[in-house]
Amino acid sequence: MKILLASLLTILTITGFAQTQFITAGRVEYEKTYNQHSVLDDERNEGEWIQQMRKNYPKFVRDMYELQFADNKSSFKLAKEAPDNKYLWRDKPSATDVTVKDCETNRIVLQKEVFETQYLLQDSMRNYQWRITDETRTIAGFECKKAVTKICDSVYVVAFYTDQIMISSGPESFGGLPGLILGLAVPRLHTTWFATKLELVQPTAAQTTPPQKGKKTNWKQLEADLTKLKARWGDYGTKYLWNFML
Amino acid sequence: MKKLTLLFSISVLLSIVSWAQQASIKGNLLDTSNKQSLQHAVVSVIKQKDSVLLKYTRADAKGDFELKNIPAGNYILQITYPLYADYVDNITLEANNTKSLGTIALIQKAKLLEEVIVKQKISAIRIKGDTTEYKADSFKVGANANVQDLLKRMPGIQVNSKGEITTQGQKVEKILVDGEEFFSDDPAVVAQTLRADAVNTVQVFDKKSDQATFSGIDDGVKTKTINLQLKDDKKKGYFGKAEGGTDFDYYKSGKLLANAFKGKRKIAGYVTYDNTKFESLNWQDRNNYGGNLNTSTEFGDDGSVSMYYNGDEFSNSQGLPNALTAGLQYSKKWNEDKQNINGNYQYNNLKVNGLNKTITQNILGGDSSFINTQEQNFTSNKTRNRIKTVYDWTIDSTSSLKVTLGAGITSGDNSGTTIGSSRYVKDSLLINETNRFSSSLSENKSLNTTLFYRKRFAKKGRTISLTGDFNFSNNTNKAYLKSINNYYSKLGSLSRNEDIDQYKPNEDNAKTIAAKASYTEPLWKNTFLELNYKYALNTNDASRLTFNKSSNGEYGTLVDTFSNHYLFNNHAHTGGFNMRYTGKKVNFSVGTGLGTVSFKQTDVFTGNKRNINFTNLLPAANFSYAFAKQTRLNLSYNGNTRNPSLLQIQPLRDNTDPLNINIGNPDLQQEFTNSFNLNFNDYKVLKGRGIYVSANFSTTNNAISNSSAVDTLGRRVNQSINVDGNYNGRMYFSYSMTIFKNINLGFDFNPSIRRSINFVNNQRNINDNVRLGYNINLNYNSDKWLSFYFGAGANHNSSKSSINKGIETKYWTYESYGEIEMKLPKKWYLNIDEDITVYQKTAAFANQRDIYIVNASIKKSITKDENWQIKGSVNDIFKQNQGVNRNITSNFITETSNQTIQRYFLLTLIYNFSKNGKPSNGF
Repeated sequence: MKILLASLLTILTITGFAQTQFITAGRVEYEKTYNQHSVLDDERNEGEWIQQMRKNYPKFVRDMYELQFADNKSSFKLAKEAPDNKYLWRDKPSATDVTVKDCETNRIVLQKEVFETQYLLQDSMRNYQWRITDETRTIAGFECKKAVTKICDSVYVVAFYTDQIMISSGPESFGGLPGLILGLAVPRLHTTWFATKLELVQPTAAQTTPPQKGKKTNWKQLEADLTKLKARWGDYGTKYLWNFML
Repeated sequence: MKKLTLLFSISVLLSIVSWAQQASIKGNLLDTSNKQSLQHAVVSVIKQKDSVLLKYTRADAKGDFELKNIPAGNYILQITYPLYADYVDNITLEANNTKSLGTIALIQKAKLLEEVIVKQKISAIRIKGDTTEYKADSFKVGANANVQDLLKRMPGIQVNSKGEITTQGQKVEKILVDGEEFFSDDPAVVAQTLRADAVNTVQVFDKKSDQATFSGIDDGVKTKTINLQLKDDKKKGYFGKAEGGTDFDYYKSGKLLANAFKGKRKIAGYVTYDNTKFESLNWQDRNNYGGNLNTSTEFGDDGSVSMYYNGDEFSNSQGLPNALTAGLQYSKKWNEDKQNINGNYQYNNLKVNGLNKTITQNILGGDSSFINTQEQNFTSNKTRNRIKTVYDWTIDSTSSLKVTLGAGITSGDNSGTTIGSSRYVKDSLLINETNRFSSSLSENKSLNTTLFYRKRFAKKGRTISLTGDFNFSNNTNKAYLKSINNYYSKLGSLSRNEDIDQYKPNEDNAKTIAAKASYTEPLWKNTFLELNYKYALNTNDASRLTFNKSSNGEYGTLVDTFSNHYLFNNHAHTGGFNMRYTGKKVNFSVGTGLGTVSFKQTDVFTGNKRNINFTNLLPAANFSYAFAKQTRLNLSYNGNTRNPSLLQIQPLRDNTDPLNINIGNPDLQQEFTNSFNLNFNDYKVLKGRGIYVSANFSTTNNAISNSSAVDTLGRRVNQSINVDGNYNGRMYFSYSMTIFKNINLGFDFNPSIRRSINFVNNQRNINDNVRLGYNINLNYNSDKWLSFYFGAGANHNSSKSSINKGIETKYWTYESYGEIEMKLPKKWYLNIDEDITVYQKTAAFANQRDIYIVNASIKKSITKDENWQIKGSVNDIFKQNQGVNRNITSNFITETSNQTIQRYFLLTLIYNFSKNGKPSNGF
């Protein structure tokens, strides 16, 4: 009821103004798409096992995520589980992971499940070097500009952001652009996030409160912990590292 | 030095000062035509050098903006506001200066004149529905051209200097590579995949929104899209290996392997010769070159795929081998991989000769315990030709069909001489001796076909699968047996003598027809019911004849006691149900199978018929709980019936080994085993710590056991009987951890107990075995210069029999195995492995030798590309390999030793060749 009232109010306020509206609070649904066959593609000559795996698992797995934002704070997490998805290596998305960003204080708090350990990362937001382009694309009805950055020295990340949604945030830990990122892609990881809808609802303060549970860490320490995997697992470890550093 | 420090400090100071020399920028935004408030417009400062966003702000309610603390330099000022054209200007900011831009006017996009682009009409390209398709090969580009160069050549597609693409007058919003987006944004990916010659077709279409694609409802949102379909035959090439080794005397090993592939078509083949081991192909070779006829694949409920390799009579045996193999494989996928055919042919020839020694200690009551020793010299020569074809058809997204056809002919020629004797433990007095020669010619033909159909219904979890099997086999064996058996009395004099000279032709024709249907129905959320029914019909026509040598030298007299001809028929019906719950953390299933088997046996010689019916019950329950992703507990129970075989009820009399005689038991009943299992594993990935526990306990009611009575001649007469009280327990506990970097240390402990009951000379005998195993292992895996693995274990065995409490066998064995791999400078590779077994000496095995096997090899790449390699290796440096196996069962302790390959030296030349491909490493 509260939500309904809030959205009604927001809609009313919007129509009251002229055409251009700037949005400061709401809920965005993202569809995350991952090409899980990509890990099988590394082998040039495919053995029987790889072929069967390809047949038994779908190429793309899709999951719904949500970003709730208000008052320059945002919270990004899995919206609902997709029980029908068949994930390779049973690598299903974590239902407890949350990323909370406060653009006012430039702080980020991440609750992240890394295998057996639940981390609580508390740090300042990463300073991405966004290269702005003049390419545009319409996502969920918003005209978005494209920007490109790199993580972990060489992994390219493509973002589409709209200046019409005021918060400088986006999926996972990304942000720092003049507006909200509605589309994100990490080609090297064969993963994209695209907004499918925006609801003008005011999240409660509790919904954007940083999580508390987990082993405390920061970006530097997390990267150091994960580098061990890289040594043990080679290329697969590197991909895991990139994934956990998003 | 001081000067230098001073200079350095000054320069640091200067740089700080220059950093402190910041610029500012301010201005005001205005929309002249609409008097629209431009509050919240984004004003960004972007570095001219690399287009990286430095800073941004939003205009206030009056349209004013100010950005401070910007280092001096050249920038792009970008101002954006929804529905307004972007304002972009180059600006130069000077240190300690605030640049005032004054009032900047923004214009609405609607006011801008749209550029008119003339649409071209192109006829040379294909139109498929909404899609325009260009064949990439028809456009000439340079050898190393990228996709942009290719697109520029295509009529109707324009690429501007910024790399933006327009087609049919509209800007292309999406470029997909085989349906996937954004590769073009990561230069590393571009370098790998986006070469012009890798592109098959370029498709231009209006992509519906993902939502519309998913729901099938067109929401009118369309995006101009280019899809680059890559060529299948970018995967065109070959790879292979040629290898030859010799010791310049007896030992030789050679193999030639090749795989040529073009798109989805593959031809692979190999030829190997080896007299240093039974099987020359390893797992990788088999998978890469089509030698995987013995590999079976299994599918799990969750889509998981497991592969197993089961060796056969050609992959391992005892003795000294001489093995020749060849194989050919053809596989092809077509119709978007929906149809797939895989054909295999394999040829094997294996010649073996060997020497086996067996020592058996028979523990009996009183002073009658004795030791039997046998020495067997044998040669065999086997040849097999076989084919296997698998056709896979994905009919549509819900149904599939798989047809498997296999056929083979194996012929064999075996002969052997056995010399044996039995003596009392107490006084070494001779009980019996035997000397036998046997030879045989055999031929086995077989044909197996399987049909498998599966259909998934629209309702999630509802599936039906049908399996049909038809198997046929024909085995013939023509054997000659010559033996002399002498039996002695307690006083040492010859009491009985048996001379045998017989011809034994056997023939066996078997057919199996089986059909199975299984159906899964979702009952409610996460709960499924599985029903299955299986029918199998087996028919078997078996004749085993024995002829004595007549006075004219021909084998013409049929020996009735050792000849028979039976027809066996059995029908089996099995029905079952299984309820399965799959939750987030909890999984459980419970169910049972119920079946009847009826055997019909007809004695062709006498016309006697015998019918036996059994009812089988197979209850099962399984529970698993996932504490976390890598922590799982599994508990299960299985009940199993085992029916006596017809040979146990009515055995075929056989005099090949006159010291072991089997007689039947018409009252034999089926046995029932209850088996309980526990598995627990917990793995901490980041720590590299693993715990694995498994435990199994089973008891058997009416266990089919053996009653053996040793007669005064030292012959053992065996009969199958039912006993109660057998049990079996096993536990395994292992702990492993990463102690330093990639060094792993592991421990495991595995105790087991077993009670088995049999009858010896009509006396109930309880055998208790207790085994305790302790192991430790250490390994270091790295792609650097060194990798190693080392393991050591100690096992304690103790066994006693109630029939002779005086003898309790207890001994320790110690084992160690290890391997070191080193990559040395200048492309030298060193490899050493060891396998050591040390036995504690016991009375029965006083002469048991400890075995220290050490193998070493050194390899060097003699060309830059590592294609040519030379390898020197020494197998069993200390000439220790014995092939010893010690086994304790009930009241017998058996030790066998087989002649095996011992020390040899081999010099091997290896050549790896490839074009555009390489063997797959894992699977």
